[in-house]
Amino acid sequence: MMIPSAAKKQKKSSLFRPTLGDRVFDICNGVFLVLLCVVTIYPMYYVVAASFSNNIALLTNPGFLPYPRGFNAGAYRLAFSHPLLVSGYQNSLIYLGTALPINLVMTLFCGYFMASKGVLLKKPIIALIMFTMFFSGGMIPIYLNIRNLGLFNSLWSLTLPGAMSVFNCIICKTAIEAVPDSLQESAYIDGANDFVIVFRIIFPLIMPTVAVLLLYYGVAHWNSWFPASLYIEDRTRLPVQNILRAVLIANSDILNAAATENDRIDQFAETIKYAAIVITTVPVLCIYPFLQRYFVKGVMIGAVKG
Amino acid sequence: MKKFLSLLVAVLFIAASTSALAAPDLYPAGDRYPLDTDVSITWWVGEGFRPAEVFATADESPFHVNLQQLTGVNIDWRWVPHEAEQSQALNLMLTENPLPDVIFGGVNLVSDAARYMEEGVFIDLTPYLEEHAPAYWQWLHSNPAYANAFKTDDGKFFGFGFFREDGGWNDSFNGPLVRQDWLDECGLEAPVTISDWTNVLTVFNEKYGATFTAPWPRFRQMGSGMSGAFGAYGSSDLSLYLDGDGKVQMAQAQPEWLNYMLQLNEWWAAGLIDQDLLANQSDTETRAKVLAGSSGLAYSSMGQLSNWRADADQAGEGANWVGLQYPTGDDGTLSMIFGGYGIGSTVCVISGDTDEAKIPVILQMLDYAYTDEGFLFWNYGVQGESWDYDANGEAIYLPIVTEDPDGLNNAIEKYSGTTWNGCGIQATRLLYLKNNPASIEANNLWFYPNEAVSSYWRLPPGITLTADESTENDFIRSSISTLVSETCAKLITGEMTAADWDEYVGQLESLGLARMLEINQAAYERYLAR
Amino acid sequence: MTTSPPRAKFGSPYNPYKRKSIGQIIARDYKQNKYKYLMVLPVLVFIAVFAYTPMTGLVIAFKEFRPRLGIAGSKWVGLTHFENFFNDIFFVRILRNTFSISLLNILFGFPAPILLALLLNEVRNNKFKRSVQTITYMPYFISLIVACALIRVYSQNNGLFSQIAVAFGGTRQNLLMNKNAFYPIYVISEIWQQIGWNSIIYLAALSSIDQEQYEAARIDGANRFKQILYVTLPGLLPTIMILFILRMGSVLNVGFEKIILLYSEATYEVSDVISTYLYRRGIVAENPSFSYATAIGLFNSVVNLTFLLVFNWLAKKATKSSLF
Repeated sequence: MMIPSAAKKQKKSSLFRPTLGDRVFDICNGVFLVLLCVVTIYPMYYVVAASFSNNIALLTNPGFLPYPRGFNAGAYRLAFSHPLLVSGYQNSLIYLGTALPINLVMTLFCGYFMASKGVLLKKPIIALIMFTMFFSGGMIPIYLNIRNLGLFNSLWSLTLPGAMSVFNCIICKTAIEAVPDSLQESAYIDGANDFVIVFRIIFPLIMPTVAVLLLYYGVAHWNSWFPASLYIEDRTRLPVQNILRAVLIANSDILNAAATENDRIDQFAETIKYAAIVITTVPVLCIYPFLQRYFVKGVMIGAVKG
Repeated sequence: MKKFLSLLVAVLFIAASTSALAAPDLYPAGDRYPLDTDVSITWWVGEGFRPAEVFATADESPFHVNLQQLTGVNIDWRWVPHEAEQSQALNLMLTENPLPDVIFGGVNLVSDAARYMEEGVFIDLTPYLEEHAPAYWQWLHSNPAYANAFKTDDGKFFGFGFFREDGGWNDSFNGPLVRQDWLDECGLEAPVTISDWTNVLTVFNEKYGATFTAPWPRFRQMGSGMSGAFGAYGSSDLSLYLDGDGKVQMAQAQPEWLNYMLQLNEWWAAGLIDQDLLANQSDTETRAKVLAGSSGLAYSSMGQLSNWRADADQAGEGANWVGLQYPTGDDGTLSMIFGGYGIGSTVCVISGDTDEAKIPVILQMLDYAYTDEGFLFWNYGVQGESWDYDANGEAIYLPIVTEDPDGLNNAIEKYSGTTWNGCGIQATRLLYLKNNPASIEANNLWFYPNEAVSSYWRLPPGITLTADESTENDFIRSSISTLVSETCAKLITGEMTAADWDEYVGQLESLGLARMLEINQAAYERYLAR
Repeated sequence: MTTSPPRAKFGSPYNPYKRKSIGQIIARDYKQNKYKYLMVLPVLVFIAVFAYTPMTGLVIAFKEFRPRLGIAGSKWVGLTHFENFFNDIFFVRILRNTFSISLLNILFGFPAPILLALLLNEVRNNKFKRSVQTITYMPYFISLIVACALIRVYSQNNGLFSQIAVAFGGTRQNLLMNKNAFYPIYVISEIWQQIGWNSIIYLAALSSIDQEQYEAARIDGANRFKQILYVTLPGLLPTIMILFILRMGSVLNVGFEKIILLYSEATYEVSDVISTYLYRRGIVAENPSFSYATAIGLFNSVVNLTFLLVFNWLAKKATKSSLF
């Protein structure tokens, strides 16, 4: 599984001196990528700088922000103690904790089935599964279905409908196909059944893919808000993104109302928004460097088509 | 003339204040409450009197807890969170089976009441009202407009309404605002006509870089007063009105409306209007801009004016926001602003899934708001807890409200059910207590000078459609309102001009404007015949 | 299945000369693969409950659905809603906008990560390469809500975009109010958020390209550009094709959530798409028509499916890689 990156190997085995053209290309490439990084990172830097700014200074000048205007960390104190942000945060974590194991098991099972050989009903079953990727009942029938199932206003209305993504199953299937058949065959001979094979043999071997899949699912769940806006009625059950939507997009006063005294706007009304962005985004950003080394090894599609 | 006007306003202001003292003549609660019952009900509440924003659950909200104790009914509150889209929440709730026992919702419940009753979404209250809701029954019959607003053409009562004690005055909570300190600095008079407005906007723009600004949701719904200076009857939201001959018309199909739009476009092109306005600018965003000094002439509400003034006091830079009379036409034409009915557009109904045995209890519970005792509770809370009488025998809020760290508006909402909208009668006094004197004065300026022309162009609340009409009307209205709000934006930004007007009118026709007017005309005539 | 014939149970060795009955085939398949079927069972239950059941709800597109009357009790109206939709004055517009946004997004958004992967592949300094990867992945983790909130802040009249415009001699404006700016804002922000993350899948495919091909190309005197053209790109092609077909299969599924977070009346002309229109007519409007919205949704799904099948067929002919 450990395939060194192309560039690395290329460098090691290169017998040729780089030509002038190569140098020019390298420089242009480097400059372009640096620029891309600057453009990419500025909005994130802006959020952090804004969250530490002085409220009025930020309101009067919301444009280019080279550094925090008038340093003030008070917005964080308020954001961390805001009941709705706290409950939203908790709900999102519970939602992730419930959804991810389901996602993982379903995706492994489905991927394993799709990768299996010599199964009589494989084709029609895969067709049934794939069809759902491109055809759906649409917003209203799906809503009515959730309602009929009695999932309205419960955590399950957010976790179950997204229990599995067919696209992720295809990635999983591709990874499983890359596992040598001999491993499975010898396991069969040793008397192992398919469940043992999936969890004991396949799972450890496709760890990089599993990591990426968890990230795919995790990010999607953490950032999702639309289903909750349809299915969740209790505000104490709303995930954190819905709270953010109220604050950032609808510009509701909910944070401000509790955070500032006597209808005063000059304290944190604007900066608390950015503090809220930081504290909801940082956890996701923190997880990903740990998973990053798996990324390139973890996603394959099409390349190893069975 | 101006002096006379302000004198007139002052006189009327005093008149209004005194009238606010006299509590309405209401049915006595007697010793009916708390009811002797162990009934539990579910009550779904949309935008209006749901628990205040600072509360995560209804158990924390004094009003919602107290209402249960005072009426003796256990209520399981279900309410639309402040984070949610209101109409969406109501539409989706109506797909439930079974429905909650009691539903408090918006205008669509009223106009389509006949169909909803036919389908069994909510029940006909006529057989019960007189017996189980005597206070409401008496209130409804104190004014023919009240009774007509909450029954269908065939005389079936369907719900409990929201009423504003003082009719039109409380209706006109939005209007123009100006920075008096800038006017003084520039040696300008308060603008009266549209030309004056152009002048003030130009001077403010040159001197301070300021523009006209407004929270878009207020501007789009309530801007009819601004349009009134042109003889038009609406802003960007589709609005029907009655013309001089009693015919139902749509404001946005009239040339007067075009003139209004063209004026806005002129200001827009000259850079006199805040370019963020149409980006669905909220109260909070507008407030921030106002505090930052980027506007000197604006459109917002009484409550927002109170906020702006509090901000300005705190910033200490001398900004002095005051109310401003609605602009008149250059020939002195007064704006037609709000209707004088004092009836809210919401309604509280009993769903068709409610247990028959619960109905009398629910009716009595709802009736409480219209009794003398319940009126005080719905407006001020529990006597001794959140309010009491002052030396003059008038209701005042106690320090638990006035010194609440969440601010006065939020604090009143914690204890009162009629702060915004509810099923009860909003006391004018509540608005006096909620807003600072400058805001009250602003509302006087918005309402009284225009009162004479304000009243009867509006379709009376409570016009109901038949089931078949509902389906057709909803469909046409939905298409037309998209076209209208979009055309408004395009006309303002200049993407559409007067040259495109005929094409637009043609599109309205092809969408079924004539049919929509016909349906509503028929409904209005049936209303008159009630 | 408990009555399977005894012969299958003892599992005679495979005999190609002996035809098996259907019962035997099934029994054998069951015996060998029962755990596999058991595994796919939850998947089948899942799609039955959450994908196929709602599809049966599509019948309301042919009725005048009133929630209180239920699906069965609502009046049958046949194709009325479809007729209304095709005659809707916004029909052409929302169809055009949906295709425009989707195709622009494919035109610019689809090649961007491929390009980034190719460029990254040419970087020799591993530290630099990793840093670029780390940074370009990051926006993927920023939620749509936050991304759109930032776009709104930057687009304000006195926001960053206005400042940049003024610096280059333009004028201040709220860019989100400018209908000409909507597509660029949409597509560029989409690339910003996705480019790094989507390049992963291509970098993965690149790492599996046989290094000897590069050696061979170099011996033949191919320069870097030619190596990319003749070795790297062909190596990526299967991945590109699969992703492309998948993308074309959802050509009408534009970023609905993103649009409702960014659009307004001033830009409906270019930004109102099928799904946003459906959402407004079917869920947000006062007294919405659920049936009309469902009819619009059904139309959307059918067009998507058609596109998928067409592109899958084309891809099969052209490159031999296909989904099925």
